[in-house]
Amino acid sequence: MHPRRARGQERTWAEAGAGPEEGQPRPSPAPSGPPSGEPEAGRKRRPGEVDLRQSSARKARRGPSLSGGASRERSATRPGAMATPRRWPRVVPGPALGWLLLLLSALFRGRASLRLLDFPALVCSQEGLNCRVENSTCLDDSWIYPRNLTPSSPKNIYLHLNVSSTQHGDLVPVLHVEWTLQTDASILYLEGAELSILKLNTNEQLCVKFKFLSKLSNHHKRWRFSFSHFVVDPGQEYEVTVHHLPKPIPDGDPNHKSKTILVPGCEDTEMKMTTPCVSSGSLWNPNITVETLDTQHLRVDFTLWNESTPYQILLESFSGSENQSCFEDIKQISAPGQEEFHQRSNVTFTLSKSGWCCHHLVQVQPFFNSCQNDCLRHAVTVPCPVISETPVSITAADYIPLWVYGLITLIAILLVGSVILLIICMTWRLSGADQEKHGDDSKVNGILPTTDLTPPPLQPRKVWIVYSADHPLYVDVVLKFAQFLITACGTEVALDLLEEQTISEMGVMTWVSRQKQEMEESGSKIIVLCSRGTRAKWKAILGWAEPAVQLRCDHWKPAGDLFTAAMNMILPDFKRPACFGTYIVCYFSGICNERDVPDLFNITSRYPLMDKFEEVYFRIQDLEMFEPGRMHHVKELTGENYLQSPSGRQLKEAVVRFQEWQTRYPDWFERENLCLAGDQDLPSLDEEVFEDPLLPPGGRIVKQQPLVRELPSEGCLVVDVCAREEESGVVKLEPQLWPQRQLMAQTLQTLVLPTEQVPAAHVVEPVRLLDGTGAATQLAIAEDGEACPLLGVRRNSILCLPMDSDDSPLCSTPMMSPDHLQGDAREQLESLMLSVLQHSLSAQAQEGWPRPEVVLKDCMPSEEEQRQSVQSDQGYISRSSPQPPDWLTEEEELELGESGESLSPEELRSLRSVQRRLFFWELEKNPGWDSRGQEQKISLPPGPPNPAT
Amino acid sequence: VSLRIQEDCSHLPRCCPSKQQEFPEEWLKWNPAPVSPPEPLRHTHHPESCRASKDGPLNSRAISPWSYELDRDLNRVPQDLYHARCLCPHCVSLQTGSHMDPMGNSVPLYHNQTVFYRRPCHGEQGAHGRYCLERRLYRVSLACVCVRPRMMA
Repeated sequence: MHPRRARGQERTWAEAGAGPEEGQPRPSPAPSGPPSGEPEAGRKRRPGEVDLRQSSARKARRGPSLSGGASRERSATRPGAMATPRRWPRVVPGPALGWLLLLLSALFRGRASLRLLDFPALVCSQEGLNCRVENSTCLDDSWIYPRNLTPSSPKNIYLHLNVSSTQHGDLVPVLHVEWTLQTDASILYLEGAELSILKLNTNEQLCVKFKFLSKLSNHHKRWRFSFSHFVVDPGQEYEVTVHHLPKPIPDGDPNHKSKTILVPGCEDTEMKMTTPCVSSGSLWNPNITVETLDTQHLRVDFTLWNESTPYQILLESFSGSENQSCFEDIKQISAPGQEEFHQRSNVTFTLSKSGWCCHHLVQVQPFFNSCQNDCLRHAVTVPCPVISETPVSITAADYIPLWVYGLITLIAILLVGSVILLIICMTWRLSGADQEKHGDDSKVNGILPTTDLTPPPLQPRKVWIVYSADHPLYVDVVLKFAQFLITACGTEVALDLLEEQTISEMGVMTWVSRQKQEMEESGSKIIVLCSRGTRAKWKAILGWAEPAVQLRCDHWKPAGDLFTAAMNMILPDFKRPACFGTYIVCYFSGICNERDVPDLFNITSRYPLMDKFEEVYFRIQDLEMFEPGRMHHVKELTGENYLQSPSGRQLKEAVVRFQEWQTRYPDWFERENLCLAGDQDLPSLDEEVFEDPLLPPGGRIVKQQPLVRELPSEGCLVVDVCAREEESGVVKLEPQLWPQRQLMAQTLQTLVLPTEQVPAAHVVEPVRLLDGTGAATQLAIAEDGEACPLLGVRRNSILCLPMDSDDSPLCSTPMMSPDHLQGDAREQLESLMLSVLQHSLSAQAQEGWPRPEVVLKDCMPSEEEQRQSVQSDQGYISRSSPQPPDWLTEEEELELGESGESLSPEELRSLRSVQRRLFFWELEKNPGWDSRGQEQKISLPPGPPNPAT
Repeated sequence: VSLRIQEDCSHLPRCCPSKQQEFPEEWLKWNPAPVSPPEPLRHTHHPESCRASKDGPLNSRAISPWSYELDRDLNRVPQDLYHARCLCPHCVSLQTGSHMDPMGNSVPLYHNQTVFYRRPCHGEQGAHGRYCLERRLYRVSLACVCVRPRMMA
């Protein structure tokens, strides 16, 4: 600050020194003026002089108001010291005037209008330029009277703030303005400049004019001008503008330049020392102290300033947490006297009763003359006592919680660490599990290729197809199915249609039983194809009351109905669950229904063809389609793929043809069933009826003729053989009854048939069937219906077995066949003789039981049949265990009988006579036997040749 | 004004007679209708600078702070005038100096100031190239004040 002050003072002295030099050029322009202008110049001087006088008067007035010891010294040191003694006497005599002056000064200070520094003198001349500073109204003549030639605008404007002392010793802020000219030719027409200062908050303006008395010439550097007499106020904003004269025309380019400046406030260290700031209390330090006497009173002490003005002490209280005022109070302090200047003063406030309103803000507001109601306040804040206490408690609490916080931090770290470790362990385990899974995957992948590389081997298999010949088209379907199995599946098929010759040679029952035995021994499967015929035949087997089923195809086939025979063979297996696996029950979907499956097969799986044929094939192969993690497929058989093969397509076509036939003739089955056929089919039935009686008589005629022819043709040797046979026949016929004779006739016929195999076969089968049915009928009446038909069928099978054994020797040794036949015949004859003897004895004892005798006779062959069936089916051994001993005993008896008969011919003759007597006796007793008598008559033709022989 | 004119005449003695003749007719015109400042000088608020400081001039310490905008017209005397532009739509809290209190309205305080406009003189416009002064009232906003809002209770 001191150096700045020194500089300011130096500048002022320099300007003061320049004053006389500037004074000299002024008289020079006066003589150069015109003579008429002299009085005008004189007039000009007069107003200037008056102005100076007025200003001097004002200064004189201001002087005493600011006078002091220091001011006196300053005025004494300055050259203007002579004037001061004059002013003092004026002030001393009039105290009232002094008071008025004080008031006026106060008013002036309050206004704070723009003004110029009164000291030093205003100078604008410099080397090469003669200039004069004049007061301006901010309205130059060139603004009203435009000029043709005007200068350019100023180059730069530089503003700087200084602190200068006035003539009376006041420190005031002064604005230093400096600008330069542009280096162009317009300076030749520059006649001067107008400086204006504008106060923004009041738009007050003050102007000063630089009047150039000589023209500007070229400068070696640049023309520079300055002005340092604008007095400003602290904390205000000003605009300084420099106009070059003359001013431009209305639409011309402006030739002025402006700049604004904000003067710092009294807080500034440099401004603080200025008179305006000092007068407003910038140097006052109240040194406020607040003392809490008790909870309800507050005492405030502060230092007064050296100005006699009132003070206000303001108290505003707030709550500790909130920032809202909860209490206010104002204390007034009257203006102190000079004696109390710089002395301590105090006031006491009564606080609010509420304890939470404990934050106090104390302000001291002075009312100095220069700032009045807007003087700088000094404040002190008193915090809440609780707040002062809480910090201690807070610190204490914070001290203990610090350890707690540390512990919590440690615990948190440990927890986080443990969590991290757990995560790591879990990831490690999961990675291990993933490896295991990967291993499993690799294993699974390994298994699949191995299974793919090594599929289960398919072995050649054989199946027996059991079906009902419902219709020729259905038979065609069955044939195509068999062909498909053979060609596409490589499976051997046992089908009656493919072995008709063998069946004709062996017989139906023999062939059926042989097939079943082969399937069981080789573990092959039996495919049962169900259709309408199977359902009807099964119902016929179960419910004998229903009409019999005789299909046209079965009738035309040499082997006849094999399904019923097969079912009789199969039925015992379904009493043993272990045998279910052997049978595959199927039906062709589209031409057959699931309901066509007999109830017997409800406990087994049934497969619609050809949808489920793949599964059927796996069963044929004894393989499982589904295994854990595996599934087997045969591409050629899956779904509709079987159509890819020619045989498959033919099968499909056959099914479609039969389906179309079914659609065209919904009653196709009834038409095929001869027993259910209508009038249209009657001719066929009649034909059958005619055929049946024709065959037997034709056969009988043939039998008679070849017998007669063969006997004489053979000569003595033949006669001997025939005589033996005839003799035995004659011997048997004589002692036996008529029904017995009938049986014997039948047996004789059977004995004769083998000699003529082909025609004999054709003739014998229907006869046996008729006899079988008749026997069955009788047995049904006598015993349980379920067992009788089976027994009847077994009788037929029993009769066939020996023939098979005979056939094989015939092929090997044809010469031995007649001996074997004779042996068999002898055995049968012997058995019959024994039975006759038993019956005769029982008849003599009980005459009223003729029918039981007949029943017993029929039962004997059935038992024999059971023996043979047991041999073929081991399952019956346990059931028929008590019967074999009886048969064995009977055989022993037969052997004994044979030895006796051969020894005594006289006994034979007696037997013959007994038989004749019994025959005639039965005829007399039973007149109903007339029909049987007729039958006997029919059988009589073979009788006469016997006596002839 | 008359003294000034005489002084001017003294500076230019040759033109004194003609000037004296023209003054009474067109020298001064009076139009009582006040003139409003241009559109850009309309009051626009800047919320970011809406705060009151503890020191500085009145415009920065007011609870209805304002700033100054220059209004310059080369054909007008005075050439430069500064208008007060309110910085806040409402008033600033005395307690904090930054929190705006919507319970008060910050409004400008206007003053009609006398100004003079330079206009071409009628009649002899292009002959002598002289201009006449037109006196008019010009509305100037001096400051902004905080007032209570009027309400329909």
